[in-house]
Amino acid sequence: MTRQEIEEKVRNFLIEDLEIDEDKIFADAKLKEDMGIDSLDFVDIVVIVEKNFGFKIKPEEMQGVTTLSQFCDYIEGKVG
Amino acid sequence: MHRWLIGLLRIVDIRLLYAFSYVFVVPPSMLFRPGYGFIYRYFRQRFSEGPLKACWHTYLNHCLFSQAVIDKFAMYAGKKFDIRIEGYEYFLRLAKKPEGFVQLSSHVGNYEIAGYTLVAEDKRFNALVYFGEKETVMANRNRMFSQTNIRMIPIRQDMSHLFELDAALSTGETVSIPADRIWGSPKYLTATLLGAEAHFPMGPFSVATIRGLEVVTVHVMKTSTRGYTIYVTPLAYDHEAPRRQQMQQLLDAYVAELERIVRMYPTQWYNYFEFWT
Repeated sequence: MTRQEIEEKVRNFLIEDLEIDEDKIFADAKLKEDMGIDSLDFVDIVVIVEKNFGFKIKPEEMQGVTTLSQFCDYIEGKVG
Repeated sequence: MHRWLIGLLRIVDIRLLYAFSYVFVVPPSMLFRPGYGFIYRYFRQRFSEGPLKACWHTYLNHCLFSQAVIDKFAMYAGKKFDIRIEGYEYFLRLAKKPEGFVQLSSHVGNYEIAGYTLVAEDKRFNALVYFGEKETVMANRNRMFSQTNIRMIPIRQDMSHLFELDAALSTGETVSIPADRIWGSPKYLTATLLGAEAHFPMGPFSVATIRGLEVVTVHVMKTSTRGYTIYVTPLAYDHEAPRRQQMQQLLDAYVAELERIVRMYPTQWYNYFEFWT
């Protein structure tokens, strides 16, 4: 899966499943502060990533992930 | 205090303790705790009762709450209750499926009784419990649950309990979640209960719909001194609808069932805070 495909999929589920405004979704956007993602959303993300990318996020692996770009890096590292 | 109470319940009739609480525990707690006002208004506004009837029902509500607490300790002391279950076949059918399912509970009746009765051999049962309960309560619960396939997951402020819940559901276990109080995450959904709008936590409805799981409500209501009826009711929602709609449909179904139960047992409502917006 290419980086572009990963970003596209992530963008789609952020808009459709988590109802995040499109203008809040950009590479350096902070997951918590800019996009308003909280722990409840994160449980959704764990399930959605599992369905879309075929692996299960471990919460402890997400410790240093604070921006959308880092989140895509993390997924790329798993499936790229 | 708790150990003493459990010891006492092993030797005295439970009705003696009920009577003691009606006279020496309930009146002071009504006078000195804010819960009285919330319950009084609940009867006045949600059931349109007059002042005297609302006062009487508020007293009964506190008496029944004290019974629920005593009954919990009576179970720790080894006392048995007569329990009838409505919808048990449905519960067993879900328990035999490989997928997990969600049980939504409410702060009515005495849910903990279900924890000792509504257990499926084929499926591990995970119950969300509030952290900060007295050590004796937790220790006794652990002791009783250690004989079954029940695991308790304490609710934590950082919401990490949600990951434990999701992990349990992803491996086909069942989880029980109270769905009528907002804890941790401020996200909520709104529905009309007993004619007025109230907020409900988004978490339980989110956890269930994200995996498209089947959901039941479980309400355990006191029917006599030693009798309880457990109501297991399936909740329907459109699994193909947009996510937000799924959550709202599930909430509406939950609230409709909660309203049915509360109208049958209005004095067993134990949300001692301003519930309605």
